[in-house]
Amino acid sequence: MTDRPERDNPLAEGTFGPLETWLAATLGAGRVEIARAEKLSGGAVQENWRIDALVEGGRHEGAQRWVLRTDAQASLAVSLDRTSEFGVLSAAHEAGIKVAEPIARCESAELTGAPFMLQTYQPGEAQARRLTRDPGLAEWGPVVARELGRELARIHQIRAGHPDLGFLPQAITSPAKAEIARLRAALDKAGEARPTLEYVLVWLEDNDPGSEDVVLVHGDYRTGNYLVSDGHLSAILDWEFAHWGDAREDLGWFCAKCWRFGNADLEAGGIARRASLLDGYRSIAGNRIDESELAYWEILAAAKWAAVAVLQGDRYRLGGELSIELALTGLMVSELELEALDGIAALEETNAAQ
Amino acid sequence: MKRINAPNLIELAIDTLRGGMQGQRALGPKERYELAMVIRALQIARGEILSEPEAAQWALLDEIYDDGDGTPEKLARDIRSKTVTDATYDGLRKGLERILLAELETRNPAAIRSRS
Repeated sequence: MTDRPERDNPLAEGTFGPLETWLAATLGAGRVEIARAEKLSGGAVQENWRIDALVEGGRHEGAQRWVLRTDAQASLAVSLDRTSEFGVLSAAHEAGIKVAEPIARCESAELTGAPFMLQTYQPGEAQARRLTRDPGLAEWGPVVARELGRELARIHQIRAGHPDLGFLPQAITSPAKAEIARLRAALDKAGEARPTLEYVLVWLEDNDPGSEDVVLVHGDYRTGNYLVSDGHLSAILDWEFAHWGDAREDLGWFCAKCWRFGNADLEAGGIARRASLLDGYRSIAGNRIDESELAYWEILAAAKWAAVAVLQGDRYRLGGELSIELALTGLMVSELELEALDGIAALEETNAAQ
Repeated sequence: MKRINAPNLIELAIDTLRGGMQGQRALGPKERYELAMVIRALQIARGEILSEPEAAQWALLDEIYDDGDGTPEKLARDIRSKTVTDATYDGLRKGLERILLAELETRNPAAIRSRS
């Protein structure tokens, strides 16, 4: 967990001047005038601001709508900083993946209180509860799930050794064991011991299925991190957990029970059946991944979210942030651990029956 | 360090409600009274919350560590180091599950009902 000193509202009315000057210089424009900056909802560890600006001169001349993305007061140690996230977003954009266009990045904290990145504003709805409760879900859910599968396959075509992603730490052991090590390192700093989570991590380590390929993994591919507009996928969001790993980690995360938002039967992110996601995935990647392989990675997904929930709870427990939301997130660990134990029991039963 | 447990969670909820009441000058006497009742009910609930989750936890710790020195931190370390495993203690997984079920009975009973 990274603590930052309290800072004033970084984009309050009347404070745009230095940012406008920086933007003009960075974008090669004669002048940039910010008409409005509005904080967007969502984002537990990042802050997102919608910026409406008028650009005079340069490649971005005209009325622009951007998203400025910066760190929240306390960020998670496991997440990429903004400049690294910008690098990942750029590689994804260059590969033709449906993402916002990256515009600029700033490594200095002087302008807005923390480093930030700028990207184009994409239309659509990202709020998970609205998406999974939408009356038209039965119609657009399978369509979007297939599109998400296709985009994910394209993400996984980006392989370790990509010339622009050298800043991402290389996995030195199996991707699953690397992920388990990351989670243990995070738990070592946690304010609460979780014996059940440790048990799950030992099981995952002992039952690592091994990986053949190491690919770019989004790391938080789930409902809530993509935009839907007019019944189609608009853009994939939030790349701060990207890393090198096993493709099945992303598929397992997307299909984990904890990310279905109450639509238990719609395994793919609470919007469609798992088959829709995999159909889209296989249309690009071929028949490389079988549905039966995902059970292990869904258990890992529950463990990963449980560890994140512990750290979010620590912002209340240790960090003094008096937030009911953070406290309640911390309490979610129990149900995530139970989900993992149930997953282990089910997988062992399946394996015993074969 | 503040633990996230039922009594602290209810205390946080009570403080949040009180803060809301102070900021709401438009609240009439009836609304204020109702909110005061809610706060009182939460205070009673907080007093009545039993440490069932902790009882299940201590029961497992006492079974595994017969010297009485078991703690959740020690168990977490011993599980990670494989000092305590399913092989060394036959009821480990079931014991951990009992703790979770006891925790969820209070925190989120729906999560237990939704198990497939």
